[in-house]
Amino acid sequence: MMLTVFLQQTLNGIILGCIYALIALGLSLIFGILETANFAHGEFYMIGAFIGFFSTSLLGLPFFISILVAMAGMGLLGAVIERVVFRPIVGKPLINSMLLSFGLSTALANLALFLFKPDPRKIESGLSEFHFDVCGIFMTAERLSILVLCVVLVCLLSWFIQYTKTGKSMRAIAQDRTAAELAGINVRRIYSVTFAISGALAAAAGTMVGAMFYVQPDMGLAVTLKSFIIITLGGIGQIKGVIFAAILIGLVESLGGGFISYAYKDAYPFILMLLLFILKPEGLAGGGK
Amino acid sequence: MFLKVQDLCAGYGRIQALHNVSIEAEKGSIVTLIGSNGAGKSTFMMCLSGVLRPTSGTIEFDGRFIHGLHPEKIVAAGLSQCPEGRRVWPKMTVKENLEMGGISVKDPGVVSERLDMAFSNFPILAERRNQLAGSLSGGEQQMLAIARALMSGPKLLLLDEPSLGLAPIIVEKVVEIIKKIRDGGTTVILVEQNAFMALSIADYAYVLETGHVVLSGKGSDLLKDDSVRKSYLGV
Ligand SMILES: Nc1ncnc2c1ncn2[C@@H]1O[C@H](COP(=O)(O)OP(=O)(O)O)[C@@H](O)[C@H]1O
Ligand SMILES: [Mg+2]
Repeated sequence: MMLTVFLQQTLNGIILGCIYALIALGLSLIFGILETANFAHGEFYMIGAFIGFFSTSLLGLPFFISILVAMAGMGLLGAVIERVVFRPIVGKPLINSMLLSFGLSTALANLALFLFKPDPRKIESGLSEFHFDVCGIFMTAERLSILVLCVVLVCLLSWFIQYTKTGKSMRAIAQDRTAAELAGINVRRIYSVTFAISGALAAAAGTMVGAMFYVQPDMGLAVTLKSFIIITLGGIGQIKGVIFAAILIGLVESLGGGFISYAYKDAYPFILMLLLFILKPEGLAGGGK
Repeated sequence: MFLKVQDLCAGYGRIQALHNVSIEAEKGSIVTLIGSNGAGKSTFMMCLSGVLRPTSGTIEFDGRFIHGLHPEKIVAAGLSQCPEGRRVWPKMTVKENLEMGGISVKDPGVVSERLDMAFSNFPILAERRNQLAGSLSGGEQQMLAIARALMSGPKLLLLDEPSLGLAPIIVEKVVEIIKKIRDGGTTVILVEQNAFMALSIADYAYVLETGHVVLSGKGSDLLKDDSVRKSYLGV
């Protein structure tokens, strides 16, 4: 019985962790490339979830198409927000982007509250009726397809950063922005692309969570904080480290919820971070960027 | 005039680092800028490349004004820089560093041609093409930085202290490379603290002190100049 609960919560934790990886990777890209801390990242995720919600409920689009619509919509909005809000302060000390994005986060969350009301809504994927059991471990087609999609998106992102011209430009800017400018890289274009990718990944995650749980205007804040924990643990700009840390956080949250108490599920990642800061201050991956 | 900089002023916040600097370079020449640490040499180079906005003055390059253009536009116009301290991307391979140097070039055929040329001109880079740039020695990184700056096919190449921190035998090699680049038709602006080396190969030279041009003349003439010999050549 205990074993079944353990395996079930482990599986849930891995799925949750993969979703966190999508969110945290986007945050990490922005941090590494623009040297900007985006505390409104959770609101990107929330807005993406609402786009996904309205795509299925109002437009009647299938779940996967809704995810794509949310990614496209939030990607575009991300690029616009970068241009209008963050571009003027790029290169300034971190405190500037921290304060500015805190303000943006509050504004977006309140705007959503005003427009959509606080009621939780659920995205109907139409896939949760199909389910199967393996040795008492419960899995729906919805969760399985979300897991697969997360893996596909992370692989696509890694490939993009490793092999495309734009991806290489992103790495070059993260390592030395002035050298990138001198080489003729259009740094401003890469900033837009980075925000677009970051917004799109957050939106995909938001739509997935909206199907598994709920969509709400205040869903962003906890996710922002968890994402910062993840990139702190995983190391800025280290894709593997971030994925590893994200899954760890997902597992801690899920197992903590299953075995200790669900009421404190948002607290476990913070406790883990405090413990790791004390025990392993150099970070899990052990290095800077 | 191929490059004509007039009354250039620039600085960082309230610190003014360049005061009405005027410099010219003829096509196909090597022009050098010498001066002690903090004189404003790198600041001048960053203004030419568009990384730093001058507060006033004009920069005319190859028949058009380039001050106020974004850096990538300036590279595309044919001006590229190999910065002080080499600044290769340490976690990218040698080949990736070079490819990125050619990012302003639209035709992929031209990029691969230049890549082959870089590898034949710098055999050490060919050997290490898949190694991370951060694992190269100082001299190798300098070769990579110069090769990267050449990938855009510049008409004017800015070299900021290419001999810094290199062993004398490597410095000789760098000198050979600079002459070869000039002979290939590329104009060179060379910034150096190693004044002897710079003046020996320069057609024309400027001396910069605390942001002002205080002296200029043919390289060979400045080598004989008493004040230059005292301040910069240590004799
Ligand atoms: N990023 C910067 N911020 C503030 N001051 C700077 C910066 N870079 C250079 N300076 C100042 O500008 C002056 C010129 O520096 P620089 O152009 O680097 O000189 P050089 O290359 O001749 O050694 C110096 O007084 C230096 O302290
Ligand atoms: Mg300098």
